[in-house]
Amino acid sequence: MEENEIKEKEKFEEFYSRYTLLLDKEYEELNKEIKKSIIFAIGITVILIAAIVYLVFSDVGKNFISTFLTGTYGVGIICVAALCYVAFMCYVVVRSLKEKRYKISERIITDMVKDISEDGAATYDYGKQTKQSIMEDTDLFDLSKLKYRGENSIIATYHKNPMSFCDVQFYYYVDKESKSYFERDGKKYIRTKRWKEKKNLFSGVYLSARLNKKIADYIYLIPNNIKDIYINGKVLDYINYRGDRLNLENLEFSKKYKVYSEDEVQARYILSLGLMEKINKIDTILPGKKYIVFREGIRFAIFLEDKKIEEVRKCTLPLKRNEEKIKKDFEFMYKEISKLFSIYDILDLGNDIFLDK
Amino acid sequence: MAFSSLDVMLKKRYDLIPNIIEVVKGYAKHETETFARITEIRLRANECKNAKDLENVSSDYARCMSSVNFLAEGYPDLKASQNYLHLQKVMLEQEEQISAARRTYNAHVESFNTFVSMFPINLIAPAFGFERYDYFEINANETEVKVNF
Repeated sequence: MEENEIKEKEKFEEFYSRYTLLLDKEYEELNKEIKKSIIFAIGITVILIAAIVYLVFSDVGKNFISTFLTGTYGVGIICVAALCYVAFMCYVVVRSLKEKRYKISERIITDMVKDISEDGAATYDYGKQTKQSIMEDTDLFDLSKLKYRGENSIIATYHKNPMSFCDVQFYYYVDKESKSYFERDGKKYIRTKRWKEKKNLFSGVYLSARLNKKIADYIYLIPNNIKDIYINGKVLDYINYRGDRLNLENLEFSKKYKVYSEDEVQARYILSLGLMEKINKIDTILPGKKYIVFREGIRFAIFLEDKKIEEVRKCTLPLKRNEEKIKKDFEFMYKEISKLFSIYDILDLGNDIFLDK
Repeated sequence: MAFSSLDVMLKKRYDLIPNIIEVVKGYAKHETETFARITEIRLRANECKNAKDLENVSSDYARCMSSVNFLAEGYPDLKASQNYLHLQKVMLEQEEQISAARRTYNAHVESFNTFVSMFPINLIAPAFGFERYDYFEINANETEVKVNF
């Protein structure tokens, strides 16, 4: 593991030293945006002041001022209006800079993905909705009853294995009702309030990759430690009737996952003793609950809870160039993306023994 | 059920024997004794009735396959041939499937044996002919069939 960390660190250093040269260009663009926003704010302010001055000296303006803006009351209104205007302009400038910095972050992430996967055609699409059919293929959650949202997809070929990641969220609405009693004109009434409450079933990263073993059906690995009975029921109700629960030999693995499959021999063929050990190892890098689906064909999918690609995008360039902070942020981003790809190495998906059939 | 899937997987393994002979024969025509031994194992495999028989045949097969691997060492052309490499891949997959079937069989045997040894089942089980089943085990010195790459 240590050897991998050193390798990763070296790879990052190489990437960073190469990228610092490109940062000049990014900062040039960012400075341009700062200037543009300030000029825009000043321009609007000048136009507004000109319009006010014109109104003040016109008859309509004079009448308006003498009627509404006299005394302390008038001064108060003017001050509040000025403050609101300043706040609004600040918001506009900050918002536009934030958008620009996010755009730069997206470019940086794309380059990082390309560097880590060594795939020049790798893509990172922020905001693009991931197709529902992809989730239907995994058939882990009941999409006829749940709502789904998927975005921030990364698609890359890592060591010849087509891998894809995206942020996903499965949720549902629960009907809520509350009743209150009140009296009016000596009569008793009941006031009923109804609303829908959003409940999150799963929120995290979806990862899909090619498996090096052929599978004819589905195998589901459900985390053993779902404490929420309602959520537990929602997931297990859907899985239960499509397979039996299996007890596998690896105790640590059995403590972490419930395994469901219709074909026990096939499940044991896919979940060999070695693979169970490897799945246990994922926790060292990516802790948290995981749902794993081995699905028809030669693909498998992992749902990593409480992890978000969005978090990586939030690391934006500081407005004032600060090498120390930039390097720290870059290292965090690079590490987080590497962690997702490292699943390939942990599960030894490079072993292509069964792929040529 | 678990026994039948193990049996099927092992049969599949022994069905590969003609392919092994065919591929190896092309390069090592004079190793007739080894070929005869492998063919005999295949015939014995068809007559297996229980896990103990399968276990014995499986051990002989493992021994025989190590001599085939040893034989291949002496024929570099054979080791490099595409057919041989492909066969090794198929055999490796087959071995994994057998291992899965064996694990399934042993898991079922374990739960059945636990069931029949529990009180009060242990008092009435022998009367109905329910006895403990043997595990399908691999000898420690033979372990799994080695497939070289």
